[in-house]
Amino acid sequence: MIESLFIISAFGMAIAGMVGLSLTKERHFRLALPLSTANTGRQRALFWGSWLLLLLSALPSILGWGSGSGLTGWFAVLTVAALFPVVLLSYAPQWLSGLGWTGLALGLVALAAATVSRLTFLP
Amino acid sequence: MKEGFRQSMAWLHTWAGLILGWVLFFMFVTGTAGYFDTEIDRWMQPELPVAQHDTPAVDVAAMGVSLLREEAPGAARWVIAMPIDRNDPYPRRFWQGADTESGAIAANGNERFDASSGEPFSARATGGGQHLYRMHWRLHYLPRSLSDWLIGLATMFMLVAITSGIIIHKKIFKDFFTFRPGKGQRSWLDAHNVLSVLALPFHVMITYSGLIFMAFAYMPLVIAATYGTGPEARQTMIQEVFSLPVVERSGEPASLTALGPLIDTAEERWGPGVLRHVDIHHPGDRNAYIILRASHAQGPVRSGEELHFDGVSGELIDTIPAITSAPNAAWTVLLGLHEGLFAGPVLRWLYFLSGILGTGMVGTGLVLWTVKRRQQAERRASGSHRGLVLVERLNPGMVAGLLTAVAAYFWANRLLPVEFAQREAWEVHSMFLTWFMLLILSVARPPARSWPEQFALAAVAFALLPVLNLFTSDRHLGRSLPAGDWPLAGFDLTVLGLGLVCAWVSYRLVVRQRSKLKHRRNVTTPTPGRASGAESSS
Amino acid sequence: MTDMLQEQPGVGIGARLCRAWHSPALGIASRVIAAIVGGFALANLGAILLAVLLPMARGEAVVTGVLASFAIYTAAVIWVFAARSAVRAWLGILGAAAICALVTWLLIGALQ
Repeated sequence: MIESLFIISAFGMAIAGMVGLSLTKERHFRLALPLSTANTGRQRALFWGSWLLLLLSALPSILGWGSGSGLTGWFAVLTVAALFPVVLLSYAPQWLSGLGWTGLALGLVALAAATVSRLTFLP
Repeated sequence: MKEGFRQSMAWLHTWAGLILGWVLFFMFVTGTAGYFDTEIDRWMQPELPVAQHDTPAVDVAAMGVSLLREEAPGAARWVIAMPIDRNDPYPRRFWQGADTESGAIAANGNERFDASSGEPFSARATGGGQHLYRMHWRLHYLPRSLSDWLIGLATMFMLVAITSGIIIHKKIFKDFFTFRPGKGQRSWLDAHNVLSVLALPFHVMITYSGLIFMAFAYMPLVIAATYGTGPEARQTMIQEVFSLPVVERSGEPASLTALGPLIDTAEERWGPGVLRHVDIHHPGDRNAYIILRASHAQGPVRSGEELHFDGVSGELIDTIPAITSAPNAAWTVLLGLHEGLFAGPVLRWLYFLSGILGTGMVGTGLVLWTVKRRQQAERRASGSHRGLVLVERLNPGMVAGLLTAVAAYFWANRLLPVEFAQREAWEVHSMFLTWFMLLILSVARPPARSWPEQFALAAVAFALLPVLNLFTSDRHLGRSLPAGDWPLAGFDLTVLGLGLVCAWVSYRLVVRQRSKLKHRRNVTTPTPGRASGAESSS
Repeated sequence: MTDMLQEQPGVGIGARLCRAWHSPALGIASRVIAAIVGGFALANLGAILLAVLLPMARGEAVVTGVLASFAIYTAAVIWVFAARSAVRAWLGILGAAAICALVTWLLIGALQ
């Protein structure tokens, strides 16, 4: 159960990271957020924030799957997460930023919940 | 060849990918199915019980030994495999070098048995998921010597195609998320890039590790130069690298030690449910030797710790760690990552999905080749493109037809009579006959028609499998779902899903074809023809 | 080089042979052989060199060599098709193979 929470968190963070990374490309940004303007500072923050999230998603992967399988799982999570922006950009770009925020929220909440329960139920 | 590095790499990528592309596609389809091999096994023998993971190892070992005493007297080796995880739902016993004259049923054997009764199962004969999975490296109808080299060559081509593909993909990071649908060649290239790049770690891992399985056979000079030639040299090498014991039979009989205390020792050390093999060398001999092996599916390292015992006194002789050296670790990790035996449900699905992405990569690559060449050919509008036409016409049968053929393998499993003697062989014949017939159909039809037709067939063949299951077994979705019998329910739901995906693809192809035709008619009013149609679309 | 030859229409048999030698089809066939056969030989020789060179137990060194051999093979194939001419491709492969063989031979001699 706790393991599943960690894995969900890994997916959430990786999806948020991949969505963010896809939005750093101007064409994608205009597609997904036609009303906002992309200034350089914002794009830079998006770029580094997304990379940070992608790297951080390794943590819940390892906590969820264990050290050996966790790294394998992390690569698979990144692959699957990247599919989301690819599909959404082509077929429903208006959902992209929403998915990003959902992923981020889900990732952090699940990570917090999993960490708390792991600490509580520690033998 | 002087057009620059990237262009020669593009040439290399195209031809390395195409020449063995169909073999690679076959390997990807059957290999991907292989990630659910035991689940497919179960669907193909629905009369077997649910997995028997809770049986104590001591009991399983005792049942195994008593079966082996009857079936395989005088064997050089008896092995009892425990049903500890999804890779082995039931206990298994296998033996080597048994004495058929003193009553052994066969010299070598590998059979499962029922942990509740200790008797062999009686179920329909089938190749099961194991055979389907084995095809991805063993192919079929070909002698081993040929298939090994064909597979090796195809895998090597794949490695070259991946490497050259990375080199020619200029904007690998910039175009990471780019897919522009509905734009002809551009879309196919986008799809090929996305499928290749997103799962690149998987593709590289699966290809490189695929070569490692038979690496010593593929690089024969290495052992010849370091250990000498001949089978003994090879044996020495394997013993040195993988630390196997060498024990000779003495010829002097002695009774086998009781397995219970040995198993207790192992379980104390590893905990319950980790003991995987009870491996008995020369049972009944003075020099009997017993190896207890821990699970090799606890992580990507595809080996477990071993406890070596004297088979007569029961004394612990040696403990061999799972990893003996760094090169040995790299080796077993590559094999472990390839097989993914350690993967639980989520990771297993991710493996399956990565396999599908790989299948898609090869498939889109095959299509891309024809789309590109068709455009060039239409621009030139003269000369023969017999090769192009052949590939264009074969592709639908090769790609979508193979999917239907795999479904036919499952149909045959249920439709061939249980008492039919060669049903196991005919399951596979049905698969290849279906594929062959679909190839003929594919060649006979224009590709624009053939693609949606073939996918529609695949859709029907897959989506109706749960219905077939309903009529041919009592373990249909109505039963398996409420019972939480996930291997069976999962199979039915997955093939249903695959059928729906194929139906969607077929539908999209029809829609696109219609809009293309309409577009063509609107543009080319005065002289309708192929050449003008091509201009309008470019 | 091919351009030069195409500019001068072949007169004698020597020129014709020369042109055949430089024909693209032959160049590609030659490269394919260099890649598949030459690359295979080089991969084996490279692996043997590693097996002899690496300061590990014999079995471990052999495993390392074999593990690396497919990367060597791939690199060789890439080189063959990246080289400016088929002759260069062959020279590269044969040169590397010769160096591997020579070093292996010297090392084995030194070890004995």
